[in-house]
This record gives sequence, structure tokens and C-alpha cells, in this order.
Amino acid sequence: MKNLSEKSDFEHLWENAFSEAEMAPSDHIWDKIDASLSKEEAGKYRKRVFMYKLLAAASIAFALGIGALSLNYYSRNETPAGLASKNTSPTELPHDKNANISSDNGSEPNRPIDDNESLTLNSEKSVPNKASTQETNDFVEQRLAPILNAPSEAP
Amino acid sequence: MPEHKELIEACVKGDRLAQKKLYDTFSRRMYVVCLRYTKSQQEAEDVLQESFIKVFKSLAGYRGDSRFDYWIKRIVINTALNSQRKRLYMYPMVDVEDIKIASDNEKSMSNLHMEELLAMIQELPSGCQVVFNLFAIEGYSHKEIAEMLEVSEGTSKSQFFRARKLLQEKIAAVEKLERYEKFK
Repeated sequence: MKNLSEKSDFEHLWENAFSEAEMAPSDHIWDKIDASLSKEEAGKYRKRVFMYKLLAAASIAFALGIGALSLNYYSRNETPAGLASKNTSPTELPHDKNANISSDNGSEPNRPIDDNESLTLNSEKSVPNKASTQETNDFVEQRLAPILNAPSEAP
Repeated sequence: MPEHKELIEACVKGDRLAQKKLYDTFSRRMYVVCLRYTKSQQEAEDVLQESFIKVFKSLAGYRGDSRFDYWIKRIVINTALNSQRKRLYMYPMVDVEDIKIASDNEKSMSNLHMEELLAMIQELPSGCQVVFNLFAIEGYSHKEIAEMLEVSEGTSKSQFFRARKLLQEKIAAVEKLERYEKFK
């Protein structure tokens, strides 16, 4: 008896019969493949657009967050600084501002301990805020005037 | 990556004309493979379509360590096996030693057209059809087939010998018919 795990002539005949065998499938098969590939690409494109949208949304949210933080910072923190800087000359202001920012970065987490104002609600804070409007105007005048004038002063 | 290098690279980039060219190069041969593993033209075309979509998806992973047509054929066979899996009921193993190797219809076989042989394969029970294809035509060992189909090696062997017996009977029947036609 032959070894059953080896191919006999019979199998070789079948193998040869199909080794170069070709037949044409229906033409619409390619159309279906084409459509499927296009769908796939569109899906990838949509995914990418979605990622960009997400990124844009995150950037806007981040920018708004920074904006809100700095507004918060100016309305609560900068006004007294503006008051304090009333007597300083305009040329010293940029330096003074940097000093405020750096000191703010360092001391902000400790502020509630230094200042009870932070623990109160916004409505209760409205009075000091109103009172500070005048000071804010002073601050804008003092701060912005040198900046606005700067280009004309430049040689 | 020796053969079809540029074509493959263009396909990976998503060049649709290159993809069409690759399809045109291989689809006719792969269609016959699909027909061998399925029961109808419709089924074979479904397998062909799915296979080529898989080919284009995984083309970036082709490293050229096997011949490109073998690589494609492997995807086609796997797709065909998956499509047949529900239907692949393997008969319990019979004792292989009991099956006699009847032969002598080899000569008449060479007179048959590929289409006729294809029809004979398609008429086999699914288990026999798949195992006969894998062993006789693709050249896998019974051990490999057993692993691919998650059956025992003995089952693969018995399916194969059953397939061979059925095919030999079919060829003999055709031979008889032809002799009869001549006599008439």
C-alpha cells in the first residue's frame, strides 16, 4: 500500500489541471471593490476631519480657559496692583507688570489664606468690583498709554 | 520585493488605477480558486470581492518573503474557508486503511476540460471539497489542514479519501457516457 500522506499521480493530475487555470469573473465585481475602497477612504477622511475639529475645539476651550483665568486675575488681583502703581512713572510699568505676573504665579494658590475675599460669592464681591471700575480706568490709561504711544516714539 | 514592486507601492498609496491593474492581473486566476472552494458562481464572486478588499487593506504588510501570487492566494483561501466554515461539517473519521486506492482513470481525466473538473469539485460535500483542494491542489499536508480547519489529522485524511473516491466515480461515469456516445 502506498503512503497515504503522499500525493499520488491522481492528485498531481488535478494540481496540473488547475495550475494555470483562469476564468473571468463578472465585470461588476471590480465596481463593488472600487465602491468599498472609496467608502473606506471616505471613512478615513471623515475620521481625520473629526480629529481636526476635536483639536480645534480643544484649542478654543484652552484659549477661553486662559482668557477666563487672566480676566479673573486682572479683576481680582491686578486692580490693587494698579492702585499701587499709581505713583510709579510709566517707564517703570512694563517691569512692574512682569513682577506682578511672576508674584501671582507664585502666590496664587495661597491667596485664599491671605485674603478672605476669595472665599465669598461673586454677588458679594460685586461691591468692590464696582468700586474698582475707576481704578481699572486709571490702570488702562497708565498701562496702555505707553504701549499705544510707543510706535510714534520709536525712531 | 522583486516582482510587482512598483505596482504594489502605488496600490499602497491608494492609486486606484494601480489597484485596478493589480486586480486585472490576478482576478482571473483567483476566481478559479474561489470557484474550487465554493458551490456557485455567486458565492465565488462574493469570496473574490471580499478577498481583494482584504488584499488592498493588508498590502502595506506584504514584505516580499513569499511569492506575491501565493500571498494573494493565501488570503483568498482563508476568506473562502471562513465563508464555508458554517457549512464545514466533517464526517466522523473512518479507518483510512480500509479505503482502497482505485486508480486507472488517470488517462481519461486528462481528456476532461478544466470546467468539467471544476464542476466535479463543486459537487463534492463541503468537507471533502475543502480538504481535497487543500491537499491535492494546494499541496498542504494533512497535519497543516488539520490545524487550519481545527479537526484531527485522521478526519482530514478520511475526508480526502472520500473526496477521491467520489471524484473517481464521477470520472468513471463520464468515461462510460463517452463510450456510450461513441458506440451510438
